[in-house]
Amino acid sequence: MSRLLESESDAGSTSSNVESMKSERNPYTVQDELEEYAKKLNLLALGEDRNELQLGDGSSVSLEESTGNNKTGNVVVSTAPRTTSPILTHLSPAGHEAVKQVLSKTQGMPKKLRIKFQAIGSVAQVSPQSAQISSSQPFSVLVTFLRKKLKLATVYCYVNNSFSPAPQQSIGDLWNHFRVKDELIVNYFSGVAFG
Amino acid sequence: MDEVRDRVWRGSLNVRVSVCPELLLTELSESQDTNLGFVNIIVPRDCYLALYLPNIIQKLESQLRISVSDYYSGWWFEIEGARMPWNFPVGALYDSSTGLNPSNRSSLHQENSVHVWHLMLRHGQHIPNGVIPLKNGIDQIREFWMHQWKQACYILNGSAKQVMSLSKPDTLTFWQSVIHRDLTKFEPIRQKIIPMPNAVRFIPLRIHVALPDVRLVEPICKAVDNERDVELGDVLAREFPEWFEANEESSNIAKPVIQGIEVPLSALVWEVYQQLSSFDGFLHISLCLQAENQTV
Repeated sequence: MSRLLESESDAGSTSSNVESMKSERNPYTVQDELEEYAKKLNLLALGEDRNELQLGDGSSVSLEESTGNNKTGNVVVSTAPRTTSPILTHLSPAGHEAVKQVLSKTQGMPKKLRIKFQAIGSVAQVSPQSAQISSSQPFSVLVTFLRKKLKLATVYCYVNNSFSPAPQQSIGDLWNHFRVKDELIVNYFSGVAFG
Repeated sequence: MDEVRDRVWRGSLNVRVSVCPELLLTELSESQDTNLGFVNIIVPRDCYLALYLPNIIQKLESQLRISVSDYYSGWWFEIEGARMPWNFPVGALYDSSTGLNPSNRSSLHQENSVHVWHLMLRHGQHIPNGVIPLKNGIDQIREFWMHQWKQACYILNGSAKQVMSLSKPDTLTFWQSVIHRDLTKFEPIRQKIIPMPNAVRFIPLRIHVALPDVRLVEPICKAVDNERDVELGDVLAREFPEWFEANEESSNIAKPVIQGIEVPLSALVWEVYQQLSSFDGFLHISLCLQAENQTV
């Protein structure tokens, strides 16, 4: 079972350490969802996510270089249900203009934000410890990045040693609310650290 | 205020969950019987719809062409073809996705009629982007909800200490009160997390926007700014200046709807938070655009 999971999650990995073995024993973890979620992001051809991770794996500059190439954000944005869409055709001219303005604003430039990774317990510290990432990326990108970088089947990530955000929550929002000295501190462990 | 909390807690939605035709038994999907393939339920506004997955699927199980091995994993809901995340209170999703205009609601309501929200239940290996896959059933939902509370607590108090230091029985009772819809048990524990008015750091807000696309905005909002209590209109005018012009209520093209109620822009955010915030510690505001001749 654990072998299967391992080969599924990271094809090139043979060096499974104690932590990863331990975490693989429980096949139903929240992290599996994140993992699956990240896989889905890839499946759905959200290209920047994948590029970012590959670059992160291959170079010590980690997220810094890759986020520079980010053209669009990939925090989940979906189309409105059909029932609400007709409202758009009934808007007053002023309303129409306002919706257009909001649209153009959301397509604006995402900021680059600084993230600091801190290992909990016996898990290896990633190097470099700090990285920069676009504000429009979802939190799941960080989880996937750490999982690949550390070659672990599962990584549990927390903000400020406290809570684990939803995978699709935007890093920009998290940074705005929870940054410490202009860095968002992301703590990680191979198992559950804060229930 | 207790009465408002009680009414908010008891707020409910009539939902018809239809099974995606691909999942129905062939003979049923071809049959003319219109009483098959769906279930009608009343769900509390202030809860996760995913908590009702087992009830819904159990009722429909005999009509499905797949054998059900897990009541959570692989299932998701859709609203009119748009995927629906489970990790927000269902009431907030309803308000924003239907563009609810509470002042129109009574005029649309006719005698002997019930308004029903139509959702579609789907199942598959590839859960759509934006829906958190459920792999560990109700335990995962509970854990997720606790982390939402810790996040809200952090915004309110500057740390998650109030939630993290809850006793084990309190933590258990807190969740049980959500499952059993017991406000008398929920409220005392909630009060342990919420700070005194003069100690509020920021207010946990989530603004749901469905148009022109589905988005979530999480603004930073103080209770008091420059020695003045912050009003709902202040936050909205700052985040959506095109939609809300400060002090000109009549010209606004959108309405803030919270728990199905249209809230005046002059309401104080901290007071609104105390009365209308959700079971996950956040105040969910749905922005509903108003059409010129609104018939929706």
